[in-house]
Amino acid sequence: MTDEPLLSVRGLVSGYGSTRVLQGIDLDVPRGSVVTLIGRNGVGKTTTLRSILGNVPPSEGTITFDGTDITTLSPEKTAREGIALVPEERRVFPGLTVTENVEIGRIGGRRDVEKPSVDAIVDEFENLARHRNSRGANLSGGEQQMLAIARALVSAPDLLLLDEPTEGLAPAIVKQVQRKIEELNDDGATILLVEQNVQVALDAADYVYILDKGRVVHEGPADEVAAADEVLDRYLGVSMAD
Amino acid sequence: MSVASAVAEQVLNGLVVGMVYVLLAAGLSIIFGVMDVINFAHGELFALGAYFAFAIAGPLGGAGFWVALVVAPLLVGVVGMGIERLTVKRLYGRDPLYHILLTFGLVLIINDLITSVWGKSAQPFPVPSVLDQPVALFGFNYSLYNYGIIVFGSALALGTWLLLNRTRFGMIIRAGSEDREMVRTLGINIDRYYTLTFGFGAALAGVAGIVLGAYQNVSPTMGSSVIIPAFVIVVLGGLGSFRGAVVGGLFVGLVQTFARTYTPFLEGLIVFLLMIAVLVVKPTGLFGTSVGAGDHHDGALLHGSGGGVLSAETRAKLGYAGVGALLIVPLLAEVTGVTYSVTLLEDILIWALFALSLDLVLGYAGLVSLGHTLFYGVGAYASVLTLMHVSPSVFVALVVAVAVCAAIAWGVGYLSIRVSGVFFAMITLGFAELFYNAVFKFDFTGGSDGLFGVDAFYGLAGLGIDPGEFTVPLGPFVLDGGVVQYYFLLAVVVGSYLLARRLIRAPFGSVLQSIRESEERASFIGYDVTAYKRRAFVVSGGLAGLAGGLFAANNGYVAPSFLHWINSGEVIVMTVLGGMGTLYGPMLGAGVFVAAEDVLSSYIDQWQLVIGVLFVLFVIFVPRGLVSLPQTVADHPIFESAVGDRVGEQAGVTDPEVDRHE
Amino acid sequence: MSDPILRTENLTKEFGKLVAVDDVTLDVERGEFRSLIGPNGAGKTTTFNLLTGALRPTRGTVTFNGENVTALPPHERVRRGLGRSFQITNVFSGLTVRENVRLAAQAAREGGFTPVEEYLRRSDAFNDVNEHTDRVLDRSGLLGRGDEPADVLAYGDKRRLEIAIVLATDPDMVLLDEPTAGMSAEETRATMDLIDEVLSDRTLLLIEHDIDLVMRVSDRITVLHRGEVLAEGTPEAVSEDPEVREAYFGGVEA
Repeated sequence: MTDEPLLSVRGLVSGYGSTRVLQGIDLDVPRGSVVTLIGRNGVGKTTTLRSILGNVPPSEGTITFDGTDITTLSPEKTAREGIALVPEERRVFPGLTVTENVEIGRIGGRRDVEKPSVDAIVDEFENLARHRNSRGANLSGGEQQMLAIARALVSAPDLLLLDEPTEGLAPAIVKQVQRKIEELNDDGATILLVEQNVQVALDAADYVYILDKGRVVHEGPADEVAAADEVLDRYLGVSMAD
Repeated sequence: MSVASAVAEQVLNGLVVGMVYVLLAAGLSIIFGVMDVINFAHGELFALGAYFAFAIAGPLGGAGFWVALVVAPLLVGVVGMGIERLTVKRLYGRDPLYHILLTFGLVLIINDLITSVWGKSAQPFPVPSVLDQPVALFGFNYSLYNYGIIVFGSALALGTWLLLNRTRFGMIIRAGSEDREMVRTLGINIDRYYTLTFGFGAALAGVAGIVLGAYQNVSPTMGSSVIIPAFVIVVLGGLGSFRGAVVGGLFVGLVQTFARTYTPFLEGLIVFLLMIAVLVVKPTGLFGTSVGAGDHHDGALLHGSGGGVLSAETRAKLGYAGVGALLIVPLLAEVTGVTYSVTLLEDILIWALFALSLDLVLGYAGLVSLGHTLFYGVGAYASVLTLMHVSPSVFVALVVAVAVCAAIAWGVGYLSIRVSGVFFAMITLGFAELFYNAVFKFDFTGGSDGLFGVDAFYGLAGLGIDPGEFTVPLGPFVLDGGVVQYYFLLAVVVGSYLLARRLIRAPFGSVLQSIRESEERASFIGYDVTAYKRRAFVVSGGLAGLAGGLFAANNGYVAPSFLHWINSGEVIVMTVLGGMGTLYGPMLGAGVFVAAEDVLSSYIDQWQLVIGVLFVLFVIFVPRGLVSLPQTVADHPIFESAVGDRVGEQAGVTDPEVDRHE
Repeated sequence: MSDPILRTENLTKEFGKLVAVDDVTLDVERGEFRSLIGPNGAGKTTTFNLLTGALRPTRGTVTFNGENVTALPPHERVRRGLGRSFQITNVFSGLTVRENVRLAAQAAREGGFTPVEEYLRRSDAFNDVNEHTDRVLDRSGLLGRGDEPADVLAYGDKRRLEIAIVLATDPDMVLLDEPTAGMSAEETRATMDLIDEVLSDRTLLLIEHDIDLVMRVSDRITVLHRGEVLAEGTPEAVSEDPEVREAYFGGVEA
């Protein structure tokens, strides 16, 4: 075990076609911590995750994961290094059953680790265990979110990327997702979270990066950021002391 | 034999044919479901299976059939994987049209390879003697081989179902067909599965080919005769649905068999009528879920670059020079005695007009009409029938041809343009096949012979020229009626081009261009996008009818082959070859294609192979067509510095992912 | 005194079991600047699509200018004066700026075209359409750039063109779909200024999740939550509504 961060991003520039969405991002995710990225719509949060995964190849900068340079790796290879994604809008396979969705997640991920069994993972989620044979399309939004998390967890990833996991969920379900994130972190998982719900983001995080226009404009431990009213107001349009 | 056993025998016959269709359609449907590829070469892979088996079984004698039944499909599977790796793979992310074009090129290649190795005629492929005997079951005798097909086919279908639903491979395939990027993100190399899937689908087609080859015989046309029904089944059952392929395959097999026995008139028609009826009621097919489900982005159609490096003036000058050259050809031909060049040019002009008509829907309205020869053929029939029964005037005949085709286009468009993309392509193909099969059935269309010996009068109400009696002595030479026909044709084609240009520059055309750029936006500034597309289709149908009518009037005959789907394929090839979305590009493409076909076919036997290879290379490397070549050359690093001041950038392919970002 | 230009009654949209929009009844007064806000998943986008005609409601009606337009497709609604802008700039990028605007002006031409005009006359030969086009280009500050291809415009100018196209359809009311999504503070200000400058004499309905912006620009605000109208009123009234604070601000108060 070293003090090196598990994931380290330096000078990341990336985008689509001629549009440069990310203009030089630096960020670190230490082992065992929850780091969140917050910012308005369209500032580059999802693009950051997609660049880390290799879905959007970076044009400049480096991404180092567990000592390995993964900057130019394809998504399939990145996943094999031990990074799992819970994507925006969940993207469970609608025609596959709950069990199959988890099974396919188990095929992915690192090859050299022991992975939990599909049943063991499904059992951890009460509302999935009740619907093992339901198709993804027939689950509620909250259940789909849990399924997407289960699909990622079953590959025993070293780093979990969560993209807007509370988006569009009812407050009670948001609480469930929040609890799940806490539980995972208590078990030692390393998490990079993109979140629009500032409250959820600040509660869950150890460390926070605020993005604006493709750059990190503010960073710090979660409690300090939560107190930095002016910053929150300026970049997110919310005030904690409202 | 009792009525009951007669019916039972028909059911069995239907199931035999149905099983072959199930195997074909299952592979086609899986390939489409997973990769969005409409594989026109599937029929040729089917034929390849039969021929491989034929080649393996022959020398081995008794046990040869059984060896072939195992080895031949594996070989076809390997061929399929090779095709995917070398060609199809390069086109993922482009519009499905490009897969249609690519696999159409592959049809030419594989078919020509088959004929050059095994010859053009059908050959018997005997069933092993063990199976070649009747068995008495349910009170009547029926071939053991046929029972064997039903059992074997069912087992394979069941096996395929198990493979898709009970194995890890199947699970990944199903997940990939729903969201391939997510599968990649999980760490699974989906590309490898694509190759395997294509190979598997090809192998299934190979099995079907062997089974049917031994049921009938092996022939180079066996592929092209099953591919269209196989598509119908896939569309009828629901694109990408395995259940749809099975139910649709058996259903079509039974319906065809019963129609042959009990309503011979409807044989060949009923399947297409059914498909059209199903699609009109439920556009997704019987078991299809939704149009463009999952993450199937349609990639952009790639248009020829409008201006390129040649200025408008240069192109206009080239145009005038071209027409000028065309004007003097008959005189030159007369002088040099190469009269055959006039015939070739007439052919080119007809196809140029046909390609122009297709481009109005394909290049300007973004509609892939896979059955455009419907209008060409109907125009030809309408023209000949008018000349025979109504008026000897070519003008009357052409007006009727255009009117009939425009009316049919309106009807087809009304039924199909609201369902977009692939379904439009399939419905147009279905209608074309419906008419193709229909002209065999009627006396007034001359059945399979067509109609011959029609003379057209180039005038109206007695004023004009009868080419049969026209001669103008010109020094030592004599200009005959053929010259009248040639100039008439040239005038109509040039006139049609000018008309099309007018339309495109008028408000109507500018709306079509806006629809091409962004359909959604066009609708939200107040244009009825569907209505505009339908009108473009009507104009296009009318012009295609004019092309067919002209050919028929000039040559004095029409035949069912005018309606054969291969024409629809060829005219798409010409349009894309030249560069769709420009009016002159497709006409140029027609010229190059027809001339190349003519030259190649007179020097080498394997000309289809050469054209197929050239075309495949073209689709992969020059998708914007011949008109984009000057630009492509100018863009090449070697020349870039020389052409420094080119205006703007060529309209690029937009990254389909770009709209996904936050 | 009440003269609603747009009215929805019991508007409901269900996707299978999910009720995305639940019994929304809404009156937008002629000339007002109304905003529709709500957290992600509140049903804003679905409501927007029901108003534009991109979706058909499961139940309920949409009335525009006194006419029931519930069953009309998008282009018919645009022709009746209900325009919309796009979130991601959606212009005809292969055409010039002038052609972009002219296409919209052509669609809104008084009396339409005769068949001969529609099919055979050059589309740039209609003086009334050209004048309308020039007026719109002028008003949106693009007159000098008419001959540039739309795809080479800078981002801000593309937004300008986007608004110009809407204006050229001569709408009575414009639906604005998150027009500042993904913009920095300055770009947001510039865009809202542009909307104010070009569209101020039209009724506007803004769909937005940025509360600050909405508070600044709206006459009245409708708050959606889980498909239902949670509150409606002036910015002040809405911001003080305890239910809104609970649901929308997510209990952010410290």
